[in-house]
Amino acid sequence: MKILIVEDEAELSKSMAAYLKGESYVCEVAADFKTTMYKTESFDYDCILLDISLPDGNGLTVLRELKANNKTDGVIIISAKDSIDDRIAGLNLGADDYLPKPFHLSELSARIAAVIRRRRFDGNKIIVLNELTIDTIGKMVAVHNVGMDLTRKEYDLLLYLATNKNRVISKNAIAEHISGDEAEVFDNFDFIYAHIKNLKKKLTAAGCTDYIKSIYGMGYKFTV
Amino acid sequence: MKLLNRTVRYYLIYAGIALLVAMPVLYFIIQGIVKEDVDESLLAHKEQVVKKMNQATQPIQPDAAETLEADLTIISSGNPLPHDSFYTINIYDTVFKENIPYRVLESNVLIKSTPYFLRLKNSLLDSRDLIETIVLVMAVLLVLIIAGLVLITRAISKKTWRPFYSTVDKLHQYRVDKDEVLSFENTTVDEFADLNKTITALVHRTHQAYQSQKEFTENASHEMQTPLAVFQHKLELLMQTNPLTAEQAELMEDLANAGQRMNRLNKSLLLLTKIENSQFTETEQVSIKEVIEKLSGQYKFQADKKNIDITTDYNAEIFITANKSLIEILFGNFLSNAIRHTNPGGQINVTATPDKVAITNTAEGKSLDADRLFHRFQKQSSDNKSVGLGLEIVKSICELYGLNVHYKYKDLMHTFTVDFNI
Repeated sequence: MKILIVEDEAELSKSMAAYLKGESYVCEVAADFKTTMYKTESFDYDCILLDISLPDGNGLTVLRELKANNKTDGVIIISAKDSIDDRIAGLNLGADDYLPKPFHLSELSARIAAVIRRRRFDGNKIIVLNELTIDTIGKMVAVHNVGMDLTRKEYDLLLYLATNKNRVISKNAIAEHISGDEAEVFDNFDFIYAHIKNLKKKLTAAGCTDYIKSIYGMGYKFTV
Repeated sequence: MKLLNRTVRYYLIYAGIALLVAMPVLYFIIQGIVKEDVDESLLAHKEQVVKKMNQATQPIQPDAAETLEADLTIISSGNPLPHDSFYTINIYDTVFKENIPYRVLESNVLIKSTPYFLRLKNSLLDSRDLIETIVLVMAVLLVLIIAGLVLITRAISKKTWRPFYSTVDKLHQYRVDKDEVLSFENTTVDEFADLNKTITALVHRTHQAYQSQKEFTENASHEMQTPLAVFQHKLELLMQTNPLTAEQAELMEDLANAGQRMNRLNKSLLLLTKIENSQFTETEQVSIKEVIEKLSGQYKFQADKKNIDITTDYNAEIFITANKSLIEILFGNFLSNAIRHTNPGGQINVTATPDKVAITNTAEGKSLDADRLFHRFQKQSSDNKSVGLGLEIVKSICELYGLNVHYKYKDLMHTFTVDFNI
């Protein structure tokens, strides 16, 4: 799957590309408006990560052009300006998601996976990891084809871990992902720990291999 | 004390002293003049009597003189030396039933070579009344003049100082964080024109300084975002490296936490600048009750963990037209602060009355320093999770919507109150 990273800050695009390459994505990088326009006109991408403020133009113009040409590329706006106006403008123009900087790479990866799942018409909406099946439309989880009950937070957590499989996800990234704004106020590490513990317990009880590993207390990893 | 009153006060003190001194002096001067006058007329009267007696053909029957003139006494005397002496005496008058002052002239005269003692007296009653009337009229006149002067001075001062008070009033309402231009009314008084010019320049400079400081915070926080993102991304990539030792993992975790803290700090600073720049323009009717219910649901895990009981008491439903996320941040900060600083097993109460919401929590020790509480980076605990901007954000939000926020410490309870009297 092809991803275009539009970002003028070389270090940021470099690390995004490095992280995403591990997810078997093919990444291309555009650092300015002109290159971006050229690339989006010439090729199709599964997902475009679009920085709004480019040195020689506005990322929203790229978005407008894409829509005008009926391109179906998924678009995630990554912006340093976390303003509601920008968010609304971007989403109104047809962006699939909006991710304010700074974000965790694992969060980016999860958002890209979600956009691609929504965009593509083939059967990618169900994630299968050996005996574990995650139906992202029905938000259902099954082990050995037997459905199991998960709370909303446990489901979110499992999906997040699974879309970043074989990666170490830091506790901060998990905290921000599952508790959103609350993570700003508290260090929700106990909260995460409690949820992970419950999730593991439920999965093991359903006969699933214990895929979720703690990495020296620094974070968690879904090892398949 | 007002300038106006100060000037008038000195006038009044001077006028009072002048009156107190001038009235007795006036009284005694007039009295002296009258006395001299009476003495002269007594002497003239004496000359007349002596002259008449010298011309008389019949010898004088001294005792009969009193029947001729009530105020005249003539007695034969053995003292031949001519001599005049004056004195004042009070004589009881049976008709008026009071003591009446008399001026008396006693003299020895020679009439046809016979020495006589002669006494003439003149009532001072009329002149006493006259003096009293004159002094009274003078006093009334003086008081009237002084009162008039005071009133005129006040009126003139009031008019003269009006531009000054208008300037003070304008300055009083001026807010350095608002983009308003300060304009003073024209004045013909040079000093005031000068004052207004100086103040305008000062205000302009202050506003510029404030503006550039604000822009600095804004730009600094924006510029900080990219290196922060780079730091965070590289750390995440570093976490993926293999092999990974426990020692490295621990260092990375510490770095991740430090990065997270920088992130929070930066976000809080950006939020503050946004509030101060009034960038939260979208408003709606926000139910305070709903916000608090939502927040206490969100923080339930943390509260339960510390075994803190959160009770809510809504005596009234408060609505405010405001930006919903800001109101959530406002009460979120109060609640999370309360949860963070309450002892395990403590108690948090949220009470809503028609015009205010109070958040109370049980406290450990002493009162917080209310003066420093709402300032930037004034942490009054050693909790390194907080960045020290929470209450500053609270203050900014309250200022934005004209709400009043107070802190009170009583009976081992901290109380923060938001006043909705708008």
